[in-house]
Amino acid sequence: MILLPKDFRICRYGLECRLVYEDDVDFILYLRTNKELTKHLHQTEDDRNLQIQWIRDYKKREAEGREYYFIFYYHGEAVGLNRMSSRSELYAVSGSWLCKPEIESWIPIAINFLFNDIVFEILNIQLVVCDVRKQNKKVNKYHKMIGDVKVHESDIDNFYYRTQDTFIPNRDKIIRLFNLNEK
Amino acid sequence: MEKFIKLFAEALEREDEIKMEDEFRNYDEWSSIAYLSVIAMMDEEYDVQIEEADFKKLRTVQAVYDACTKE
Repeated sequence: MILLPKDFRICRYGLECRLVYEDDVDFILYLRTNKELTKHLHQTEDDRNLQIQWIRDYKKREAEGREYYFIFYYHGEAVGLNRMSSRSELYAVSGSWLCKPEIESWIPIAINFLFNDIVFEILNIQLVVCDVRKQNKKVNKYHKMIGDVKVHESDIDNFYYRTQDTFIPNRDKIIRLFNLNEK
Repeated sequence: MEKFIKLFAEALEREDEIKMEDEFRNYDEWSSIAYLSVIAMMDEEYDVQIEEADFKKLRTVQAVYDACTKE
């Protein structure tokens, strides 16, 4: 597994991305405890100290290259999060894609694209696995639009596979629609 | 126009009625993914590629329809 440096930073699609630090606790809590944003996610307690401890534990997993939690900025303002975990060089599990409400409409898509670019291009992972609540129609639709393949379903979740071969042509089409390379 | 309403409803995953005078950004279904779906629909179904700045000026369903069908 490729190790990202602690000060990893990348700019693309008008966004800036880095790894989460302990100082990001308030932004993470703000998003993770928003009932509307997280109605299809695992619930997080609104407890600052617990969240700080979670980030400290996460940093140990980050140092081993097992998990990366990214924060995204637009014009200097934190706008979103996306996280991946992996126990193998072959695949990663994507999750916690959360964005601040009332940001420009293209930003959540650009965040997820930059996240996938990091996973495929920098971490050289071959397969991204996602599980999405069936009730979360918007996100299920998004997965289909970026070419993810539904490989399994349970009573409550759909499971998708994403590879570079399926993702990149769809990403490039959406980049053109949103004019993301000009941001 | 009927075809457009159907496509627009599918893009938004909206089951409630859509009126041409509606301001679509007020719909509960409006989101970044709905936005992506709408501009993809405009591109695929009407061969209309719209810049973000121009799309921002569209307020009503009628305005989107007009953008799709103008020569």
